[in-house]
Amino acid sequence: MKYIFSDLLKLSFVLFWTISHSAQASDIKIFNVTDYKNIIGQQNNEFIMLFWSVECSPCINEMRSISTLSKKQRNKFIFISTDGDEFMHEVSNTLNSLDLEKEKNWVFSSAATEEIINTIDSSWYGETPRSYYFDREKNRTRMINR
Amino acid sequence: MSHSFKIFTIAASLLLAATSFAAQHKTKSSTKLVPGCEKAQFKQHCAKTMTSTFDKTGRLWSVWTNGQYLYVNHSNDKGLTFSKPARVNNTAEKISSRNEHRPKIKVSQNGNIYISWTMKLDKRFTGHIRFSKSTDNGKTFSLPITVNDNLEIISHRFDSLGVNESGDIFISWLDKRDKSQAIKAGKKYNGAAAYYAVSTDSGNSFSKNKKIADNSCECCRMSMAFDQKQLPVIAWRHIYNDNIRDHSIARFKDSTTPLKPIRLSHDNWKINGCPHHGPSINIDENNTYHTVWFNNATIKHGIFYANSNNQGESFSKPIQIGNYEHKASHADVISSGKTVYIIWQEYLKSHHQLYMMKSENSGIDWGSPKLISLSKEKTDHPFLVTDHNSVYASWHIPGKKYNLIPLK
Repeated sequence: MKYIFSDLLKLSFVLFWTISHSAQASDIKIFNVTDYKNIIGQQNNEFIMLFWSVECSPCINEMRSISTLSKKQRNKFIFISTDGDEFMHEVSNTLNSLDLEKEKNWVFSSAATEEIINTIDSSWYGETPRSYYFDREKNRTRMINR
Repeated sequence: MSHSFKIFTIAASLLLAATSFAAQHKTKSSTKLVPGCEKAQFKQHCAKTMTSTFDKTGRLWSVWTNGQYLYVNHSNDKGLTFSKPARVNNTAEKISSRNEHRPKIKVSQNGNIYISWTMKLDKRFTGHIRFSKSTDNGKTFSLPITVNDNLEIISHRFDSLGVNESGDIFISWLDKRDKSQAIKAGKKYNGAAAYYAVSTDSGNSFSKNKKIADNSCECCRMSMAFDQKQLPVIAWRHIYNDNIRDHSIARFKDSTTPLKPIRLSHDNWKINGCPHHGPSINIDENNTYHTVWFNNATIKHGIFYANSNNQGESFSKPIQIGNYEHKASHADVISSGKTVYIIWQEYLKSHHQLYMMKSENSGIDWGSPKLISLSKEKTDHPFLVTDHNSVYASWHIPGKKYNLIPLK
């Protein structure tokens, strides 16, 4: 009997890890108009906000090159998909394939895409990739457009 | 409490916690669909894109997708009501249908209906160019064929479709076969290439694929019009030098000989990325080329219009269209006699706005922009269509009744 319960405990740990891990993999938050300011307010250090799209091949190349760096520089990168939450499945798959699923991930609310873009940068038309660097004082000091 | 029971309790709690955790996060990640179309119902107005064209009798034809199927139907009352849709592909396939990607539809002078689209493959950014036709007035469609003769699992996407007065069908697209070769040879290749194929037998077969140009931008729509000789003139976003993404046009000597491309725009937008914003071209009865495009360079940005009276050898000084601060974007151009129409979208105060502008003298002088429609909901890109009596703006708003607006 003791062995049965011991096995059950082990199984539970495995299941807990698997389920919670897979849940984390799809933990992409919906980015609404107010989230831009909210996210900046929550940062205590310099960071980069990277906007990308599943339809943008240069974005994928850039994210692939950042993937390793982002693991060494925890909390330095925030990835925001401009695709809209109607494409959540594609966004999630792409993040998984790039091993970025555990990073801070957001996806634009489909209903508010234009409003969000306007709020972030009036000269931005949604072209991707687009990255902004923020300093320790939360100032957006430059736009990185390779 | 016995030791065994304690272990059981811990195990059960862990399982419960994991399940609850998963459920919580699943809710956060739920996918939203078009309002009123949550169950992905089979409804034309639920489609993400709708592309329309008139046949020579004035009947409006539309192509749209539902899941992995393409549908075509028609309207005899300018889009107020539509016929029962006919399915194009009887075997399910992934169809690119979103913003700059969309199935295309053209009707030849003899009433044949031609459809082209991009079939998405499993690997990211890959696809094949597909084609089907109906010769029985849209009742049935032929078994789809793949037009690209390179069948690598690479990008053959962003198709553009045209049929001339003789019934020749041209399809152009963006193709990465040259990039694929370059990578295999350890060389660099920026962007994609513009390719095309032609059918001179009403779409039963297509010619060997031919390259129009190397180094096109890889994620913007192409546009096609026919000149007085009924040869295509194709416009696309090109990559010049170090990621300058301006526009090109290509004319043809004959249906199998594309000429050296000509640079259309000189805005010098440098971006190693995806503008998702292709040009539009139309040719009027005097062989004047009318073009619109978008760029977002530091100095020259917004929508621009230019025309050419010498078959693209030179273009007029571009004029800016719409309000850049209001996100003027996704313009289309069409001509009817000497009258030229441009439509585009803007975004202001939480509304998507559709504007038009008209020239009565082949694009020399222009009237003021007019607001012709607006929507609080997200919209498909606007396009211009003509039944040869009037010009209409086709503006699909997913979840809403189809919007075909006559332009005056």
